[in-house]
Amino acid sequence: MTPAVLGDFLAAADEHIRAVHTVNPTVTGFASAAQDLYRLVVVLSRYCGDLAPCDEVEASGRSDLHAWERAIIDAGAALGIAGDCLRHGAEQAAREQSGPAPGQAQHLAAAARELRVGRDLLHTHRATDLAGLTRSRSEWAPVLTSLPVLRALANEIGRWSRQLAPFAALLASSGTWHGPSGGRDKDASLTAHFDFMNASQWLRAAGAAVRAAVDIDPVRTSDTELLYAVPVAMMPQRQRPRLVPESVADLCDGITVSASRLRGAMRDGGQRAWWSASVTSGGWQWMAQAAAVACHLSQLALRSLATRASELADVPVSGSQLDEAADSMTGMRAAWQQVDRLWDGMVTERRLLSTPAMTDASDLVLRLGRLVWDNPHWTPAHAQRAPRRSPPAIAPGAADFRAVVAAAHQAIDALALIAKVDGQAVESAATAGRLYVPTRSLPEEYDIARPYAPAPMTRCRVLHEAYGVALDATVIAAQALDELALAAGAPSKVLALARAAAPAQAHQRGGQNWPNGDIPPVRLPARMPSWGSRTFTDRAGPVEQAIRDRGISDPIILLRAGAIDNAAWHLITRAENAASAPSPSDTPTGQRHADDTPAQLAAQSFPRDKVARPSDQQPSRSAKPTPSSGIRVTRRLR
Amino acid sequence: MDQIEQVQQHLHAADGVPAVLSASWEAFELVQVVAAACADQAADMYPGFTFARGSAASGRNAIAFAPSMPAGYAEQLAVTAPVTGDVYEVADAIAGLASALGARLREAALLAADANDRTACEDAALDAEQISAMLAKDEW
Repeated sequence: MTPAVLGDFLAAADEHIRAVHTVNPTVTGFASAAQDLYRLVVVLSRYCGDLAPCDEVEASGRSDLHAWERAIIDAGAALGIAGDCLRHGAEQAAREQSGPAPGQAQHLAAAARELRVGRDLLHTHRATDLAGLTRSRSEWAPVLTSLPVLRALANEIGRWSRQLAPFAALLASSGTWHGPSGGRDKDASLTAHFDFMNASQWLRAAGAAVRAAVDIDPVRTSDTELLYAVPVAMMPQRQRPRLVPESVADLCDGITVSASRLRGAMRDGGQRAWWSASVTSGGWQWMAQAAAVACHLSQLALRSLATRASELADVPVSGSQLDEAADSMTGMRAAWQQVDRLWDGMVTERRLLSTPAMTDASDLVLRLGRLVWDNPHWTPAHAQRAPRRSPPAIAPGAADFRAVVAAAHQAIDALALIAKVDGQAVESAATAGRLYVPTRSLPEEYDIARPYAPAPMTRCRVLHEAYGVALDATVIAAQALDELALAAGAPSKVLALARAAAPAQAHQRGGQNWPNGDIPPVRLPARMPSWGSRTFTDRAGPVEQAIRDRGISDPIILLRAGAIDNAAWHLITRAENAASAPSPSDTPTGQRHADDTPAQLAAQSFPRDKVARPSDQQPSRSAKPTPSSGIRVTRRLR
Repeated sequence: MDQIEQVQQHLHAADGVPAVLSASWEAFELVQVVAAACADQAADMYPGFTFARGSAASGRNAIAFAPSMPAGYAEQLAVTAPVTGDVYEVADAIAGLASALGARLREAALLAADANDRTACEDAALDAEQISAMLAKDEW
């Protein structure tokens, strides 16, 4: 079963809001409809409150807000007033009329219900800790406060506000028709009429506030795709690898589930290294081995796809693109092997205890193996070895092709989180004095009468640096797969969009940064340029930073900029290595890649969003945001 | 392959818990080194060799906990000759060595007077059995 995504609820709400106008041109049970419209507008206004970086009072004194931030503040204020008007109007209307809810009311109520559930879904990504601070509960949390999501959601809210405005006007005219005439009742009816008219105008104002931002910074197709793909922050149920043969589609689904569970398990277990005896050296080493094996299997799967690409129609990626993505995993595997080997001589006070993350990593490896090797019962054991699946067997059609790309993408993405969390955890364990080495492995001058001695700091540092290298290599592979998934239209492309969007943070309420999740950024080894692995270290490289400084937040352009930064970093690293190498003939292949890769990356035809614009047409950050078509709203005092 | 046989002989010849532990250390180290050397030689054996190497490291570390383990610095084992020949046969040979290693460690656990020696031998035997299961040509 696929997890619920925000799009399920937004699409359902959209259908109901559209249906409001198609059910009946006039309102009969308008009191009920007014109540339901009020509830719907309140939900919309709460969405705005969630997205707004500050309230309208603070906003009036700030000049650093993005056009969309200003738009959501203005829209939220307008919706708040519209809601007040509707509440008052609905109270008046309820005194005058009761009766069965009309069709419109049912649609309005259903839309409000869908949007409430959607908002609850968004709130699953955050939690309030004991100190009252909001904490991220998933890797999606920073995405939810990103500019692409803000653009897409604000745009939907603005569109719905515009659609609902005529209905509020219809309520106003219905009120004058149905209200009893004469005396106090006539006054009440008139009041309700004006309330609904005002509500209609404020709904239009909310829509106009958003439209002004659209003119400055258009919504991209990828923004809406990303918004609709936001999943519920809930670990999917484990799908044990089955004893009966699984289809390619089932295997890929299973890999996605395992990767998702693995990310959840890593997130939940990341803080335990300091104190928990259940976090062991054996577990860390096993995860490093599993990462190396998963990388190896993903690489083989991509090689098969590279062969298959030219044989399939409707596959918009070439064999060479797939081979390049597979090549990017060579360094990753070597880096994980190095981590594995460094663990050989280091232990914690307990050896190996199984963890939930290990179970999910095990499922991931098994399914990747069964995808690559022609044995439905494949395990890493020699006795289960089998020939490779033929390329037509691994990707019979274009859908399977995309599913396999997505499976590899999901696997590598999850491994990046392992590198990040385990690297941090190992540092914590070293600080807590939980790492030991066998005395036999120490030089003779160490005269220690116990079998194990505390690990020398140099060894701990080397291990931590190895995790840094593994993280960097995994990020490079993940970025290569991001590009591939976008180009191939794989279901996992949302990971690429989310990764690109997450650092594009809007300002946060009260001017504070949103907490950076429960996973602090990994510190890279000192010898690495800080812009070596942009995405997972939350640091932009020089090209990406220059793009951001121009106020451009298009995820596709940012991804490309990140790729250029990484390619440049690689070129420099390779150049340094080549300079210190004894002979150029030692690494002929590597040298050739060093020459080709940056140029290829810079020149490659990148998948473009339908509404993506060239950078010179993007709005400049220095351009002051237009005050949303002059709608500077102030909450009406009633 | 000669080195595998040589280590296997040391293991058979070991008499008493300390000698078995010392020979086991050597055997685990050999498995580690050979598995690392063989892992990249055949794509289909990479996962098996990788996990077997990890089990060898775990087994070696387990016996280091044994109080009867002879003290002193142990030089890291090096493969005296490059690992050549059929990698699948090498895998099977290591599986044989690991099987023998597991059996000897189980025997040592029964003989050991010290509870910590027993635990260390049993833990290491489990790792040896995992290596055997991972690398044996036939279903273990």
